[in-house]
Amino acid sequence: MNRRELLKTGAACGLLLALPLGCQQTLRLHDWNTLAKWTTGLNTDQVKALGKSAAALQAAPQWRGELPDLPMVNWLQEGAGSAAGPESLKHALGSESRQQFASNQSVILDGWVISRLEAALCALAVT
Amino acid sequence: MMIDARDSAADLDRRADFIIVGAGIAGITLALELAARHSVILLESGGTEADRETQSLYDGESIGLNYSLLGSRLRFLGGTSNHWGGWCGMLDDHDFATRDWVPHSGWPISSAELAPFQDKTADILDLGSGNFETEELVAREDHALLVDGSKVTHRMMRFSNPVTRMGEKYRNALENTPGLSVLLHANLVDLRLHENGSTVNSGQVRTLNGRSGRITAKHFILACGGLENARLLLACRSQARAGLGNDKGLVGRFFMEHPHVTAAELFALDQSWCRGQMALRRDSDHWFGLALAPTEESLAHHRCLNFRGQIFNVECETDEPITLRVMMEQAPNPNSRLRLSGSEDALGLPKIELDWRLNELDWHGIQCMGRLVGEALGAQGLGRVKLRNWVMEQDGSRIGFGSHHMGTTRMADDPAAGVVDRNCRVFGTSNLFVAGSSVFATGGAINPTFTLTALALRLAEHLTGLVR
Repeated sequence: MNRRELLKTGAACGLLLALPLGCQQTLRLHDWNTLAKWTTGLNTDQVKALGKSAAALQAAPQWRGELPDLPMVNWLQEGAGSAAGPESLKHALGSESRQQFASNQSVILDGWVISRLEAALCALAVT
Repeated sequence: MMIDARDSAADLDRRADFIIVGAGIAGITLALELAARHSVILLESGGTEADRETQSLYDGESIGLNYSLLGSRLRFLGGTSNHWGGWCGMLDDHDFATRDWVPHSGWPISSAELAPFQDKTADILDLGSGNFETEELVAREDHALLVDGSKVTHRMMRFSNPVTRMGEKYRNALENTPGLSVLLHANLVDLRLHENGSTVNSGQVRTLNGRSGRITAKHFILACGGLENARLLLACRSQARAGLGNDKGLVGRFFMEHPHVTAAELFALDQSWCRGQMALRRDSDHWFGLALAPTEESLAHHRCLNFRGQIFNVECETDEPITLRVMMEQAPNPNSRLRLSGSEDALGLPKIELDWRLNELDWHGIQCMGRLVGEALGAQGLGRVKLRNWVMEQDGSRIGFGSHHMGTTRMADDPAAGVVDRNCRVFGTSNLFVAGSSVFATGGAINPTFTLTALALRLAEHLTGLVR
């Protein structure tokens, strides 16, 4: 993942905000690891490994000041109670991820070809 | 007729309209086409069977990426078709085009100029059909396709059946075609120019048992394979210091292979699509397979190189990753090249020193292949792709080859950019031509046999027009 891809991956976190309101509210019911597994189809260990790589890149000094807005992430984590079920959220995340693949918004991380949304979810799973 | 040049009764001082050097796929195709109207001498270094002494004339040194100069070629009647796997496909239309992200890309001819020879090529190579369009065949339920075609599409591979061994299949024709003489165990060791400096007058022939002769013709055609064509041009130094056709120092440069890489694993999220994609398919009494290939648009967007991902004929087991075997295009690279070494073979010809190299664009191409296949599967929720660690680390020791020797006498319109012109004539000469994959300006990502055979038919048509 290069610098340009990293910035775009950060922007993918913002895409979580664009999910349906019910889905946003459901996020608090599920840890990031679960969401990352849902979306990528990878197992826990694979998600963790990818998350560490993504997080390490994001924490590198040269990227500071250009990271995604962390309060946004906090807002997601502290969101209100859910009206939508997990299937709805799973569907929304999967749909967004497929759309990103279709529009060339993928990254190669540790050899894995994943969407920017997936990279963001994996990073959140270990931070 | 076929003549053993080692036989003391055989006259090696001969004359014909055409002399063709090398009885492999290109040479035999040309010889049989031209002999319909003209006198032809076909020189073959070996006999009708492989023998160690002749094969050793191919020995040389590989100083770049791992390569077998002896194992990737065969030096007897039929040439390398004798160990050919029978895989055939067509270069994509865009393989012929100039791409601004691929230095030295672009052929002086288009795919349309080979189209008239497609069906005949399929006959020569026993493919059953020269139709490589997928639409009609994959419309059948059992031929369903994997991807939607926006990023990755399919290209058809047809298989020679039975695999054409040119020496065996055309032995009878070679022996009995009037006007055609096949000299076995006859090696071209030099070409002599007229005093005008551009017309080849004669060739010097030698055998391993010490006989020699002088052959003369109106036209000479080198058809010795992608390495040996360049070697012979470079070795003809008796009148041209740098070798024939090498005024610009391009002979032997731009050596291209198809890097064969087991580069990635494909993890299927849904196994239901998987099994149907793995099988070879049947079209009448011949087989074909569908390889994953990038669309022209996705290549341009990601500035990638072409590829064929072969997922047919591999296992698809539940919960097991599928190995993605890929044949990559190699970018034309002047520093990937062959030279003459300081040592000589048994005939006194300098041996080859091959320096096969990949550059940054080639490595980008391999990663890009993974990205495109991964995006295509991801966009449909079918699975994910993981490139192997060695790809990310650019470990050249993991690069395989396909015995596809290309580019060393590349075709161009400008003598400063190539060795032969659009009609395969060596720049600076009036009657010396090259046949085979050494004239490829780019290699695409498909086995070269079909294209080089079609080019040989096209050259035969051109040459026939010259002496009509």
